[in-house]
Amino acid sequence: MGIINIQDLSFYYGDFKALKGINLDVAEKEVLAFIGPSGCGKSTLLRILNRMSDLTYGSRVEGTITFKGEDIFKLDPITLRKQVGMVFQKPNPFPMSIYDNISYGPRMQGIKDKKQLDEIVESSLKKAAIWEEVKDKLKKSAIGVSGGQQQRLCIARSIAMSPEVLLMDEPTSALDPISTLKIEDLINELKEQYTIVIVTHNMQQAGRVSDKTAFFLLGDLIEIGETGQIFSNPKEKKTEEYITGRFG
Amino acid sequence: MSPTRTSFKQELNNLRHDMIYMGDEIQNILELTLDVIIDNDVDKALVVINGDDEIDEMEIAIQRQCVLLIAKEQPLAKDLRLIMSIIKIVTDMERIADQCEEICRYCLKLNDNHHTETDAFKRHVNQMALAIDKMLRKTLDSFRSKDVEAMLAVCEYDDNIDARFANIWQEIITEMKADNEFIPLGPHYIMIIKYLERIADHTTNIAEWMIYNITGEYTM
Amino acid sequence: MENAGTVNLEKNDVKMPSVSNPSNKPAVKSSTKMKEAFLYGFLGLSAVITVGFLLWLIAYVIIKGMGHIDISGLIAPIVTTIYMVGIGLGISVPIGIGTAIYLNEYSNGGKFVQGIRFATECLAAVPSILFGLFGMMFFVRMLGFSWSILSGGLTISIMILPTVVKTTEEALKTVPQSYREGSLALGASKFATIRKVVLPSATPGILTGVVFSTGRIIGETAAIYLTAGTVFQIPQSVMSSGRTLSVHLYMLAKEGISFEQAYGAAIVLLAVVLALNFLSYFIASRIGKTK
Repeated sequence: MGIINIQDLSFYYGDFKALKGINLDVAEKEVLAFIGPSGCGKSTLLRILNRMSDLTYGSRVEGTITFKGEDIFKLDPITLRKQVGMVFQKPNPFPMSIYDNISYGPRMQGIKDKKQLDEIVESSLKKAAIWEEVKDKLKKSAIGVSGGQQQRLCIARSIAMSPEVLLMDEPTSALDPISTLKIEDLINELKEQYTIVIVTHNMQQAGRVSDKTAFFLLGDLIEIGETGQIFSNPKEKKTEEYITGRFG
Repeated sequence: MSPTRTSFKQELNNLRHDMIYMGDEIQNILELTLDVIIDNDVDKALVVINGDDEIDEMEIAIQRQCVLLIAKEQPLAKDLRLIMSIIKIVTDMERIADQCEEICRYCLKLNDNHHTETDAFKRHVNQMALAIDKMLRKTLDSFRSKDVEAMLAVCEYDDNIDARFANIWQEIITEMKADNEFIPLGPHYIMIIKYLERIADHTTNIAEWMIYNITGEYTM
Repeated sequence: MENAGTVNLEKNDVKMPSVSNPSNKPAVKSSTKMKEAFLYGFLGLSAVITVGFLLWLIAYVIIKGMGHIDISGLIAPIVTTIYMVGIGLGISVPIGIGTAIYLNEYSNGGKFVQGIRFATECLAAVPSILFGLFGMMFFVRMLGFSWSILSGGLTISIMILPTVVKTTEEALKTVPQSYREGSLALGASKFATIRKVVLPSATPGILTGVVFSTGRIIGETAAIYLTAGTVFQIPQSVMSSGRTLSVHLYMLAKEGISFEQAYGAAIVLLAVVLALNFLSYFIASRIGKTK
């Protein structure tokens, strides 16, 4: 059983059933991509994994998800989110300095020692491959850097919490092609240390970054498998039709 | 601008190395076959014949990797050409291994201790085999050094092999006419040189795909 | 406008040969042009009138009041005004911001919240004289605060509460949802998220609202007149009666004591209100810059 295990998971927005009995296992230190047309439930599932779905008023969950064997719905969401970080579709650095952005999480956890914070900021920025670009402007506003850099800052901000899992919700959909490739390279490096679940509209991206791919359609998990297999020889007809662009 | 797609580049590099490794294996097989032709070495012939499965596996493994890279990475331009050439090149390599195997089978059937280097045609067969061995080596070296000139030279050298083939063919016919006992052996030799000539053709194909990989141009 | 005209002209020129009655076209065109010119003139005039009245009013007050500014006579109303602003903001700002945070951050749009919103809007629509009446009945009479700065301040704080709530809510709404999600996803609590990310981002907007409310307190007469009284003195405590600048102005003019002094006081009042307007404009433009 992997680091995250999902069993018979259904999710409702009011009366609408957005996920229909999902069973899925996420192995440690692998990159798992969720693909599927809009409204297939892939982002919904991602947001349940760190319980950001709690914020959606009128939603309801059935089934179980365990994170390292513990039921996430019984965990305190704050505890869960410290270990399961999230990167969003649009880069969302806070309107404060780069340093304050990265140290935001650790400070929340009560780390006050300046030296320790300095170390965390530096190592997180290095892991996110953006240290060289911003080391001279740590005190400058994070809003001032480019979109691609902002997104890597957001990744660094998540890394600063030393999570075990990183959830990424279409992390490059607002970025230009070169910034996109940089983020993808970063994902390839990060998988040495973190388990990554990424939602993407861009199938090519799923191909480039993921070890495994899960295809969703109308709230059902249609197929999950090695990315190479999904992209060269999918088992399900629906998967094949989707990835070859027959519908979507 | 800092480099991107580092893992994809790594994968392409691995693929390139796998192909070179397979090329070296083919070279080994061809050299063993050479010894079989020249010295009638039965042991080596068996090595070649039994080793063919391994080559088939290599070919499939490399092609599978190519398909995966196409599916996952959407290669374009030089990356696409590299993958395309490798798919074609390993096919030709595998064919070379098949032909070496056939040559070895004929040599075993032939079991000819009577004809030696003193016979002109026999000497010419050996020379042809050596020339082809050199041709393949030059092709593989030119891939490592990305030397288009050398690749073009290989393609041109194919005409020389074709000429040798016609020549030896004639010599064998002449020998068959002169010596009745040689009549059952002659066709075997003809098959051997035919296979050698085919190996040269495949080597030429390989060189052509290597040129395509670098320049994007097809060589006729 | 000019461009559009020339483009039209060219188009018509090109079409001219194929039109059976070419003389028709220019007629239509010139009437359209006249309409345009008329509309343009009307809009321009409206703008000129608006600015004109403001300038006229300011100039009139300054001309009439210049030379009659009796600072020593204005100290008492100014001090009273400062008291009034202090009490009014001191009570309404914390409650208003708290309400706005509750409405915008914690509530989830149920009936109760809709009720609060509706009540706030109603409160904003109540004429200030009614607040004055209420203040007089409740604070002055029932609670026995009599006519005092305290009664006035409490009354005025209720009056500006809806403004504070509304402007704070607007300011909170401009904070992108992604900031909240980003903070929560880092394992920050809701409270920490509001304190560390949401409020700092909303501060300029909230400040604009506070400045605006200050302007309303300074400018208010009716509600204060009825609750704080009109005693002309430097207040000894919040329990003493006093008159703010606006009330002072009202008294001077209404009792016919001295129109010159009234205009003198008006200049001071105008200066303070304009200064506050510039301040809120400055803060608002700062928000524009940071986003």
